[in-house]
Amino acid sequence: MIVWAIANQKGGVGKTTTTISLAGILAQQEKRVLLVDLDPHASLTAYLGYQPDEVESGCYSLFIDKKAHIKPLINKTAFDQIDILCGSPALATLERQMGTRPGKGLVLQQTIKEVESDYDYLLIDCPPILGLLMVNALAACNLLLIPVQTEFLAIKGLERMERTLTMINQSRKKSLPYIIVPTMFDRRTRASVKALRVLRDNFTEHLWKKVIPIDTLFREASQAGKPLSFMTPEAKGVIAFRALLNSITVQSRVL
Amino acid sequence: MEFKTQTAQQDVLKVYLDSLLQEVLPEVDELKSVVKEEVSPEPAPTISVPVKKVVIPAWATTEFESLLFTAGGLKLSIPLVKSNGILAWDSVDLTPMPGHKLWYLGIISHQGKHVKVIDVLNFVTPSSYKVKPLKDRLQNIVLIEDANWGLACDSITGTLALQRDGVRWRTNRSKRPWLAGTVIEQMCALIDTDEFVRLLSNN
Ligand SMILES: Nc1ncnc2c1ncn2[C@@H]1O[C@H](COP(=O)(O)OP(=O)(O)OP(=O)(O)O)[C@@H](O)[C@H]1O
Ligand SMILES: [Mg+2]
Repeated sequence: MIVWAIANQKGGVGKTTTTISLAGILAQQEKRVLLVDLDPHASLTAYLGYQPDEVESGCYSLFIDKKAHIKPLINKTAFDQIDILCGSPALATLERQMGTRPGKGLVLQQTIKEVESDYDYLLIDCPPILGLLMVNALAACNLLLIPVQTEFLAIKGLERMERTLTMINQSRKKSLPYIIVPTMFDRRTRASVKALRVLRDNFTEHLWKKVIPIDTLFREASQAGKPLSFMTPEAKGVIAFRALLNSITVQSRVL
Repeated sequence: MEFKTQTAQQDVLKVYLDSLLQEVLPEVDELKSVVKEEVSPEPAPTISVPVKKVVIPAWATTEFESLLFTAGGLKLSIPLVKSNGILAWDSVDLTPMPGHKLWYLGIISHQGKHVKVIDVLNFVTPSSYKVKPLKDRLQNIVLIEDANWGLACDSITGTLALQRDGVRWRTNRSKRPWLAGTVIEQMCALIDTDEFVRLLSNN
């Protein structure tokens, strides 16, 4: 099972969109995908048709119940190949309830072992804050995708994300590979073009060479509750995410 | 002052992260069940388990510099000590060598030497070939092995100082013997140039 976390300490940069888009494409390639929604806002959960306030089994139980097993907490979605471990507002209270009990950053890493052979991919959508949940995601994944909006402030946020990652790597005495994914790129606006240039000049090594363009169909797909690739397979946004998936796979194939 | 607050903040964060990520021992009742299983009466196995041996090339025994480049979107690197220079694709005059393997692009003349130029991407992953016509893709040639060989690639990304721990060394090189390991953070393939050249020569 390949585990990717999609995270950035900045909000609204395209994390959830990246998660669902990749899941859609993978599902269409006959891959079995488990989504984990670690965000108390639970946008991913809502996207796939669950009411976050009414979620009965999901991530929250996994953290709060010491003996919890992941399998019974997983829900199906309208898409055969995609299952979800739902998020819910109660996730926001975990930090308070568990404090920084030693080792609590490793709960996800430990519990997902149980579904190792049930899924080809596990994608974790993170909340935009550094805390227990994000730490769990970073400890559990083998690759981190950092979506970054091509806009000046977002790039500042990226520096913060990189510092966090460095610290987590130090704590774990391991280094986590990561890829920066420029999102919502609008070729017609100067700000976007300029931001992309700044990214290319300053984050060369980890930066994905292409971009996810702005595409209004993403919003429509979210209203329809479908990954965009199921709604409009040839949308430019889908083509871009397919290219991203391809770059990651080509890279991992030789490694 | 700014600097000082920054460090204090980072200290707090560090304590927080260290605690969250601490590997905790299983609790007492869990331990008991483990102990119970372990004292099972079965005889201890006598077969020795083969130890996985990590192969670390000589150039990597201390900190080393590596040269990063890309080939068809693939990120690769070689130890800098094994490189004899970089040429721009536009500046060379390639004599094609028809009738050879696809990855063998031809010969260039450089400082009185005949350099055999190969298309790295096509050598490494023949199936992902055909991405773009060569002349649009290739920008540089990295010289190795006393400039006897030239690795044609898209672009040079830079250099990187690496510690031994920054690389996940491979334990078994029977498949893709040229791949020494992975530069972990960059998810980039680290090439063992000696093996690479040996393979090239055999082909
Ligand atoms: N490439 C894109 N083109 C157009 N709209 C986009 C694109 N990517 C994301 N959006 C829209 O931008 C908004 C924010 O995106 P998204 O929810 O994916 O970000 P997020 O990082 O998950 O946000 P949060 O931090 O709130 O969880 C959504 O309405 C989404 O539909
Ligand atoms: Mg989100």
